[in-house]
Amino acid sequence: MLMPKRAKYRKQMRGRMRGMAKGGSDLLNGEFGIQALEPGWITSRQIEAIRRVVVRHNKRRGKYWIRIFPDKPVTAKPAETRMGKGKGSVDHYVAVVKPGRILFELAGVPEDAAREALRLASYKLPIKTQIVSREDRL
Amino acid sequence: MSTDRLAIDAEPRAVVGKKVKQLRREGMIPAVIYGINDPLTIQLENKMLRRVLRRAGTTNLINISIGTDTRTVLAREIQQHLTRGDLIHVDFQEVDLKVKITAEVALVLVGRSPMMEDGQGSDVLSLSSVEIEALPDDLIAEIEVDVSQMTSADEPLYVGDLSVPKGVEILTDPETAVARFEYNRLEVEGDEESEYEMTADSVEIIEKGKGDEDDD
Repeated sequence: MLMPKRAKYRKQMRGRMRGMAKGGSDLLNGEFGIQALEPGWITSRQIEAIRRVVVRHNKRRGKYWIRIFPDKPVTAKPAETRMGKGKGSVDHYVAVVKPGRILFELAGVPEDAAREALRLASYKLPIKTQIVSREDRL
Repeated sequence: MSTDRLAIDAEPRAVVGKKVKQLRREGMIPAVIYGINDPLTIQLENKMLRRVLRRAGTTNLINISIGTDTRTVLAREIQQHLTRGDLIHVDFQEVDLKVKITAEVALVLVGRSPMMEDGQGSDVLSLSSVEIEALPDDLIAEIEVDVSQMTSADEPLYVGDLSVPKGVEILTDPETAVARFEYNRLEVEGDEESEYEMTADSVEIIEKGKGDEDDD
């Protein structure tokens, strides 16, 4: 699963997710991609799940690019623990995503296969998404 | 080429700044023409503009009629809503047909390499566009990258290998790779499992935060 190798600080504050994506909203390499329509946190497990769905559906044909990286630590308290005693320990890592952000790109497979793979992959995500292609921009 | 040039009508625009939101609600798109003469703010009808831009892109000339005045322009920047794709604003550059201009032209993969035919992997573009210089009438919409010439995964195609029509010059460094072949990644089950064993604790902390020492 994706996660940082090194970090400057162990824990982070949650932050806010207002507005649209500032960058990363155009397809860079692939012909098709998944674009976020809502803000949200995408965990490294969810990224791995969409990667697996796409690889499995395309039977290892084509090429894919993961355009987000889970670099934000999320903490959690152990089960059945009383409140207090400070912030919990780091549980997992997430990527902060805003509307417009391209999450995943795919190339080298026929259009119908690519759209189906990305449709199946989008079910693994906690936010609304749409499939975009290079051609349907204007 | 100049005979079948795309044409669109526009009106001069007095509304500027945040008030252009009202224009968009009325189905008009704000735009600007700059280049040879002083910059001119204009507004165009959304549906017509979209139809023209779809055909012209950023490399075909457009004749914009503003009253009795007609200007030959090139769409330089098309601003769109990130998710809906609605047009927000368009920059048009007025061009002198006798002066060469530069433009970014998209690269398109054509054909399949022999390795891809064998199902060993896929052909991938390393570069999505190149910069070209040409007279406005000679600009091309895209350059085809014929990957069937690629015989080995070790030899990518370079900008120098691209063929362009007469009158078009590529400004991008000819030594830059434009397309390459990538083998399919063979995934070993064991590797995936070992990756799963990585936990949040395995992240190395370079420098401790001020409050972290108290927490631990």
